[in-house]
Amino acid sequence: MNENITNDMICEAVSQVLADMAFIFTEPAPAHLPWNDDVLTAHLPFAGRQRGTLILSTTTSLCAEIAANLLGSDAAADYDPGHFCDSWGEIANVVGGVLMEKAYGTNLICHLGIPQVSPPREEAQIELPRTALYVSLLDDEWRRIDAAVILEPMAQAVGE
Amino acid sequence: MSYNILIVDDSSIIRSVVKKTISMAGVDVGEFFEAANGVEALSLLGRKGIDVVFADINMPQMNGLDLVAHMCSRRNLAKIPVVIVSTERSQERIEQMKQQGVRAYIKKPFRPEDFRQVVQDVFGAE
Repeated sequence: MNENITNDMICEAVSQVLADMAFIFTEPAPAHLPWNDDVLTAHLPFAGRQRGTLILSTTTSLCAEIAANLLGSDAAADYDPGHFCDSWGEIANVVGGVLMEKAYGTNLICHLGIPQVSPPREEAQIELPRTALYVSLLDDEWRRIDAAVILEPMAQAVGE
Repeated sequence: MSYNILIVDDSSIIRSVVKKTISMAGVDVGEFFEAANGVEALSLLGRKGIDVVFADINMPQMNGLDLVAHMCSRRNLAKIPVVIVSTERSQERIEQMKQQGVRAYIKKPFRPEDFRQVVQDVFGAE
């Protein structure tokens, strides 16, 4: 079992959860496309063999469809902006759990925090450190999903 | 027999999804109740006749495991089964939860058959 989170694991976790929970099918983005709508960003702290934060961003239009698919309703008929943050936070929560399993298996106890979702903005204004892991995906309507993992520096071993 | 079900999760959308999934599973539901955290859940448990609780772990104010601990400490609530619905995947952690009084565990993302099986296991055993 790989001990570290990788870009491939992040990509697989996001794709798997969006497909299983919300029937949204994604592929890695061939290039960085502009955001074509307001952007929601979820931050989820985690601690496994590594500690860090999972950051997930996507457009409000995709969030509306995710919320509708989760509820089994019509996105246009049941438009409720309050559902967007809720559904995106829950997606982040489940992606975090799947990512922990991919990276660390089921033998290690991992902890996920409570996801925090920022209100919709024109752009996802997140500065990622150079060491951050980052992937960008597109759904079949070319709506963008960005996922990043910022890892905290490993604590020094005792005696060093 | 129909069951009064309490769903505890800080996400209103997940509470709706759990309700829908339980209904799709063919579980005979008397009434659904909802709470956004353990504190609200305890308040409802003290006032309503509830047969089973489905609860998330990570919630503000009082998390799912603290809710279980509180229920186990009260004679009138100790026998109500609590099923945790969460993203936890560690087998050791799931076993720890069962030692603490959790009756069963459903992993997210879940399917209707997960709820059907758990209800059969929980109430079939009784």
